[in-house]
Amino acid sequence: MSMKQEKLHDLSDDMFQPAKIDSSENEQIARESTGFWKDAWRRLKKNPGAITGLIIIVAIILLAIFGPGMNEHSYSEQELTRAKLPAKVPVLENIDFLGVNGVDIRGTDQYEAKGYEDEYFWFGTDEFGRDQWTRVWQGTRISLFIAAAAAFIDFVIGVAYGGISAYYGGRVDNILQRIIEVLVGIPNLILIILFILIFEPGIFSIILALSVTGWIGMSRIVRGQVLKLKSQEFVLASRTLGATSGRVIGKHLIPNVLGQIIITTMFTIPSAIFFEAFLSFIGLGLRPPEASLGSIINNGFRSLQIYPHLVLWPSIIISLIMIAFNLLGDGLRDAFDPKLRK
Amino acid sequence: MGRYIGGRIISMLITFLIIASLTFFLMKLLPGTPFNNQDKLTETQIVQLNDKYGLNDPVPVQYFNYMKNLLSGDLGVSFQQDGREVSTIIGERIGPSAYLGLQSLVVGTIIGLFLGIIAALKHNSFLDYGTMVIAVLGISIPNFVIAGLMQYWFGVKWQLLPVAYWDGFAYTIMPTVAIASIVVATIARFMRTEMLEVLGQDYITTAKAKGLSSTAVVIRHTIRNASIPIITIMGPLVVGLMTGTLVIEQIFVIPGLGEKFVNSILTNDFPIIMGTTLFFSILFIVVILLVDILYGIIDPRIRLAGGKS
Repeated sequence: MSMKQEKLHDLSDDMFQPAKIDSSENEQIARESTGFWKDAWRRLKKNPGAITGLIIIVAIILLAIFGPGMNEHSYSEQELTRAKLPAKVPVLENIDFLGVNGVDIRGTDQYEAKGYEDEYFWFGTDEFGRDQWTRVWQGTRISLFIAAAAAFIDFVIGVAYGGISAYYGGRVDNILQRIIEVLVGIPNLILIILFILIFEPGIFSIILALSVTGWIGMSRIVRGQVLKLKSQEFVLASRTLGATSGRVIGKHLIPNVLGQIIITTMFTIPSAIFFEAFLSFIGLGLRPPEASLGSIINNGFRSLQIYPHLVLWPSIIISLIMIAFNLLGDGLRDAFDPKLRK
Repeated sequence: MGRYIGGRIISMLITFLIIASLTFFLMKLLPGTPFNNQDKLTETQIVQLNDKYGLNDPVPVQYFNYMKNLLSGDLGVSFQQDGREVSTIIGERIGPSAYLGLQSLVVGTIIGLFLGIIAALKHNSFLDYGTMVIAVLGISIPNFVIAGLMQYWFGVKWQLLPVAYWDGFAYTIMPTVAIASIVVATIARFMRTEMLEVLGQDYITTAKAKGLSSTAVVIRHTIRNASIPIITIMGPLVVGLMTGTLVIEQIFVIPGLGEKFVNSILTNDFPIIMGTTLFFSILFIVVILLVDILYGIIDPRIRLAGGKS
């Protein structure tokens, strides 16, 4: 106690300077201002899982775009004499334990046996001798396209439905919510299957089927958020200043719900990819030679015991896509809403 | 409470009627014909068959008959299997599916709860991160991929477990793991979040301050309060299980309802598709109703909010 007092006495007057009293300088912003998006991005960058997910997604999208063009084979080019070759990759073929040296599980070099010593099929070939690398990336392209399209339709319908329901409230809200209550009671899987049965299986009927019930989740989230926001002061202020409904929705409500919308979309995409693969799996997917990841895996299952490479590579890629989107979705949720973070 | 349940049951019946009608009309829109060996049949035989199954009646009459039969519990007869009753077929197929579903649900829930509790109690430790990795993998990796990989490694390569079919407990292990993975992941994640939330509450501090042993605090106060919201995710989980059984039964060649459903889709066997769809829907609706009622009993706030609207 006495020590502290002594120290206080040591402070001499010349250590102090009079503070400048200038109100304009007080108001100056010392640092660059951080907006909502910048702040979210800053938090996202600190999350190693989310960044890993983002990198994987970018890499897979790039490979899906450029992968099929990276060698001279096309996804539908058949050549039965080179059917079911295992994977063989230049350089890496010299490292035995990677298993990409063209030797099948019985230990014979299939490339030598079938007379394709000089060729390289990076993921091997399927039962018709089609290059698996090209097919897998072509399939990834289609899977991603279906997922993105389904997510987009969910987004449009869900935001409109949820937004209208919450913004207008009252009887409108009541009716719209009763409709949802009934729809939620129908298992979406069964609705999707019935839908695909009626329309010919194809990319667009799959997208349509996924969107039939897919938007409900989005609309519920948007409704909840808009209900919470619309009674807040800034909306009242905007209305008092004469803003139209369109302006309130477009300028105030949607931007504030956007974070939630993006997070929901991030989880819609993997679930759409899963459902598409699932449909292919029970025989309601795309028709060959068109391929999605699901139908490639499904085809590979027929010869799983002897040619596991046909299932292995597409399985790894579909799992990576799902993991990446889930990681990114989790990261975004934490980044947009720090309150949720535990 | 009675009024709340009554209201829920009425909305459940409406949902069910809509599903039944929807299924019927969607079936009518289906392309293709339901009969086997279509090419070998003569014109007259087709007309006779259509007559026998009432497919020549006008659609409203068919609809009326269908609904009437449905209300008396008659789901019609299979087109493919020599006129066997759909309800009989469902009855003999439900065993393996129910067994598999329940086993996956129970095993998955127990492991999931255990992992979630451990992760929360050892927050930010190696165990916590390990559990979260398992959770992300379990949610992300499609169940048919897990099934396929297990079939290859455990079934073919190491010969530890039977690759497929349905013949005793050993045959249920791989399908159960494949279906339960999503249950484990979802519950572990949910339980961890809930536990962390409860651990930060004042009544936990009170319990510790009054001298309760840490085991008592964890078991009597934390786990009990954290497990209540788990009930809310049971509905979606059961639906996930249904999706799971469809594929998994197909992969492991299990003579269950899901396998039958998928095969009747491929053979256009309308009555079986309709019957199974309705069966799955009823299951789904009842599970959701039970979950809501259960939650209403445990947490009265839900009941009040639900009863008002």
